[in-house]
Amino acid sequence: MNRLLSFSRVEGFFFNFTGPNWGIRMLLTFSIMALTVIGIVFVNSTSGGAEDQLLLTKEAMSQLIKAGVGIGALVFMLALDYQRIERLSYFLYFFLLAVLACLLTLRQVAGVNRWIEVGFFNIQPSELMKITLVITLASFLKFRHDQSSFRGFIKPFLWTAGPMFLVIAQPDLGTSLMLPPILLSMLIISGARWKHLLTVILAGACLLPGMLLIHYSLPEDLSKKIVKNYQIKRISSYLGAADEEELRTSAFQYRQSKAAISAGGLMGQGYGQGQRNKLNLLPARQTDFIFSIIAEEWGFIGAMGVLTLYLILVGSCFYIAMESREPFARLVACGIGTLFAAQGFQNLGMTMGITPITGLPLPFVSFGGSSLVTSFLAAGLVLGIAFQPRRVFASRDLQPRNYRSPVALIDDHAQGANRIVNGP
Amino acid sequence: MVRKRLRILITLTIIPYFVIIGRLLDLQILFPEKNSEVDVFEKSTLKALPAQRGEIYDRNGVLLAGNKTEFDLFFTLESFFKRELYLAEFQRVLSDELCTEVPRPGPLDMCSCSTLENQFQPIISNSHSLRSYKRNILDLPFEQRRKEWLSNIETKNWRRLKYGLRKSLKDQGHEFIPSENKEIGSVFIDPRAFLAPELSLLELADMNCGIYEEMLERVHGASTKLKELLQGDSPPNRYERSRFREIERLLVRDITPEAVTRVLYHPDRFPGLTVESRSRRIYPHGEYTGLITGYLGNYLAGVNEEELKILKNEGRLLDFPTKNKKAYFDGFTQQRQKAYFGKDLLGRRGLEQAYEDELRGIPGLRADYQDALQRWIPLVDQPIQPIDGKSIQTTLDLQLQRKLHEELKQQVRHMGNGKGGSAIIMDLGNGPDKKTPGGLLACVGYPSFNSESFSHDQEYLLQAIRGENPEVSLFNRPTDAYLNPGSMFKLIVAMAAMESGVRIGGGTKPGQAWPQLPLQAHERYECRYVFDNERWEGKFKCNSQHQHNHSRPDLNLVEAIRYSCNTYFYELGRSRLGPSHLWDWGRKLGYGRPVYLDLDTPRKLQIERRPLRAETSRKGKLDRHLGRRFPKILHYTIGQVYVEASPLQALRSLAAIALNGKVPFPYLVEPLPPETINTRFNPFPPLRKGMEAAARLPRGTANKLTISDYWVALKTGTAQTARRDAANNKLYHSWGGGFAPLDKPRIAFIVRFELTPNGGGDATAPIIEKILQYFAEKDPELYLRPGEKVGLLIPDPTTNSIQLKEARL
Repeated sequence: MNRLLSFSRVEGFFFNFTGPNWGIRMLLTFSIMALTVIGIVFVNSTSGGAEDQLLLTKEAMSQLIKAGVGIGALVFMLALDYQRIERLSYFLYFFLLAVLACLLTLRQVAGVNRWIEVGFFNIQPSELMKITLVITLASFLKFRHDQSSFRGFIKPFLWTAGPMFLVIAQPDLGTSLMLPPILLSMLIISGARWKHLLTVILAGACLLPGMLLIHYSLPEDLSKKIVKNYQIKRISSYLGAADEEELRTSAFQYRQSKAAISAGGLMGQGYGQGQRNKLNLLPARQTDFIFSIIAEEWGFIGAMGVLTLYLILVGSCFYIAMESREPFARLVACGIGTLFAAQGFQNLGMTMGITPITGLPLPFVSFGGSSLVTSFLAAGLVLGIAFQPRRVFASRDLQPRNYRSPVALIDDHAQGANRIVNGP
Repeated sequence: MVRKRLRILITLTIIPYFVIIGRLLDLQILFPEKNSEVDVFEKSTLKALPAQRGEIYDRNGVLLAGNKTEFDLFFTLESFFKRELYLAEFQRVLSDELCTEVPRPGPLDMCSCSTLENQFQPIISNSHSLRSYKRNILDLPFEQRRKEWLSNIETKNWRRLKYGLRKSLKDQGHEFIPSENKEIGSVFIDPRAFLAPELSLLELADMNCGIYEEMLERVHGASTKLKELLQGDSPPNRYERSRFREIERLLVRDITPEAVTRVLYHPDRFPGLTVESRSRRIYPHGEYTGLITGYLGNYLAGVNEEELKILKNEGRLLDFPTKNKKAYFDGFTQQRQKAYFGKDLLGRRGLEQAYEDELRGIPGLRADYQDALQRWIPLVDQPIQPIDGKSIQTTLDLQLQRKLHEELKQQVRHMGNGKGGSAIIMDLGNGPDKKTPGGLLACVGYPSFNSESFSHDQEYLLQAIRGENPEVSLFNRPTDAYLNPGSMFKLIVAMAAMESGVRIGGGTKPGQAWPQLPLQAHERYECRYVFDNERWEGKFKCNSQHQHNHSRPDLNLVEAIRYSCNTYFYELGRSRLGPSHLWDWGRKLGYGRPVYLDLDTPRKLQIERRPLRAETSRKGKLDRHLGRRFPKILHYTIGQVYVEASPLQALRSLAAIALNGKVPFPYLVEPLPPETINTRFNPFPPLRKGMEAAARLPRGTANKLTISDYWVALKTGTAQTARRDAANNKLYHSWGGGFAPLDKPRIAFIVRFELTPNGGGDATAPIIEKILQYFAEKDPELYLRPGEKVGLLIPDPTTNSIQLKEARL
């Protein structure tokens, strides 16, 4: 049995060039680091550092420290045996579910938001929930073959529905919208039937008109409980039917963001020279809309650079999933890859007016500790998987959980004699 | 199978990224101009920067109209009246034992400090009680003045308060003091800190900056309004609440410089108060110069449609655009030369209107934008700076103006001398400074108005418009009040007769051209008191029977002017002059023509003013109808009908006589060279002689005891009206004017009273005397010659040498 924490693993991760997936690991690490550096550089720009000739502004310094914490988290994940995490998954899941529920009840009592204040640091449990859900679903789905039946297919939805409901109720629609893609991608990998998947996707696609239908058909008191007014406004402004007030607020954000990107052109306006950046015209330009500022100041080339880094990041995750021969690892890598892809797409799309505005940060780039550290945690998990693809599985593991073959029982008693360690 | 599914998943994940790349291409490379309408200027607000208006001075450099910087005091609830915020939060935490987290103050919490406020209400409600409370309690040391607010608070609850809040409360002087067993304790407040806003107001009131109760009402009113909003049907959300609290509200206007210094240098005593400066137009001499300077008004609230139309037609009326603000901003430097904005103040009347373009300066422009945090920040580093207006110096002598105004007021208000009066004094340019003749030394009308009050006191303005205040009038009597000149017109008649008249007694036959023989000044005419009794049956009489008819009935022109003999001029009118001659010469001397004084709008806007009345019925028509049969020609010759003049017009004719035919244009700022009348026979010396005789010889119409010592020539006029006063006395328009000194006249003046029971000389003599007195005090040798003899020598117009001619008619 491997030790829970082994820092020699971390050492080996970087310096054992002949280890598994070295190239892809380094590529992934490079993309993460590059994105983080770009993030710090642009947090510096958006907080006026470029203009004031400061080396690092207060915000950029804070982001740097948070990145340091994030790297620490990544190293911790590398040092951790990921199989141990699998065992912890259900505990983590229910723990976080309880925290979310507490937050919800406390909100009604004391007006607490989605944040928990821990000293000088704020933690957003819903961010952690995303990773935990990936692990939990992977753990749940890894040997399950009943997805082909509709009953079996529904179970993982129930796992997802709990956190999703609690996160929506926070209310944090953006984060909750990240959960279904994770679930779907993991279902695809774990062998769900296409017709079931398509049915679910179609049903999801009907959600948007459904919300509008609820808003406009039900009486106001009732519809308010289900669909919030601001959500309807965002949807309608996304569909191009913004009212006057909306034009001033969130549609204004849209237009400013699109205008900032357009203003960038091919080469950009120069670092720190973006007009919408300098004049503070774009709301949330440090956090959710940081990509608009990148595109404004570094132009198409810079934006494509960031996009390429994301493609590398997502692609590496999927590559690792493909290389991994263990179902749990494969599912986790897939889930996290989808998480990055979905979050990235949603954020970038939002800045360009492709998707509606939700308060989702751009992983590794946006200002904010919670998202950054969570992203590092997730990336650390994938890197750990890439570094430890060493399992030849005990025969017990190859069977679904509800199936206990006599052979497996014998194997169990053999105290792991059949286990062959493939890795270092 | 898993690999296959993975490939499908990868494809599904990557495709959206290609959508993003496509969109990026679309936005940045292919059609970036599609978003060009989202300009930074789009959200900006253009704001005009008003230029400092130029000042107006009198000839000695005394300020007539200027600008004063005033300081107003503003407050925001957020910074000045913040006790309810922290107390609300504080009380809420302490009252909620279960709560471990400090919530943000919800809508209803705003009112929770009202219990404490109610305790202090009787104390702060007026300045006396607060002052005595301050003396008795607040000035004591902290330990003695503090006051228990909440008791039996559990210590653990107190510790639940956030550290920052606890510290801020402690900084405010509010403390938690645990009891002996340390489980419970009491919260003490420092009333001095609690009442900090009220104490600031009290201190302001002690510095004579507003009344305590009024200021308190403003502050508490705003706070109460917020509370009402919060308890209303749709309470504002947190953002709206903070916006409401951040609105700058006026606390008190025009505070003293001392208070400004104190507020700025003691922010601890006046927390959250801001001082803002503002420029205000002032007129230090109020009603003395009201008619001259005019006032400032907003043209939107004004009444001058004509002006508005002209401004619109000239494209000078600007409005801020809703689109293309950038282009507007860039083009503003060209546009702004004559730009007006909707709320600009515009000169109304007087010099403020006449010299509007020079005085107003050129406005600047600033573009502010609202950033993502809703703050207003300048969009361009360098706004278009305004260019201040030019100051102007007038020819006015403020001292004289004041004196004359006081005298007119005295006469009209207290001596019952008419309904209104006007007086003008013109500099004839013969002084040592050799100025262009026509500069006005004083131009007074009574009643007039106070420009200061007009610009700033709405009630005063309305009173004036409704005519409720008899001492206030917008009517510029010296320049705009057209009345029959009475005997003043005889000077014109005489001149017309001397230049183009027909010989008296020369018979003419129908169809025969009139021989253009001028009147000779020495020609004599016998006044028989009643003019042409056979024909007019005693309707036309001489006004001065007691003065000359009995002693020496025949008189020459000089004597006719001296006595203002009506029959002499009736005869001229009947036998020598047609209306057309009078019309011609009247116009030459300034009657019936717009007077191009700076004050007059026509000078700037070229609107025709009211012409001579006779001109309205055309020249030929007048001749035909009046002929020589129509009796009204006789009234015309003594200025009772068909001719109306403003004092300024009459003054021009007097100045022309004084200056030998140079008709000056009256001016206050910009001189115009005088026009010269071409005369054949130089009719001016006899006229001057007549006026001198009227002033200085006994029984002259203007000869009053007080005046006769001055070296002056005068002519009076009494225009009859059909009106009578309460005592059934006839009412006249009384004129009196002339020039001084005689040999080289330096000033010409005219005085007029409307609807006065006194005739010309009697009514105007007191004012004329004051005028002469004023100048004689400065230069007695020039104006005061009591011993100088006056001879009735008739100057020979051909040689301009004085010869005695005793020719008789």
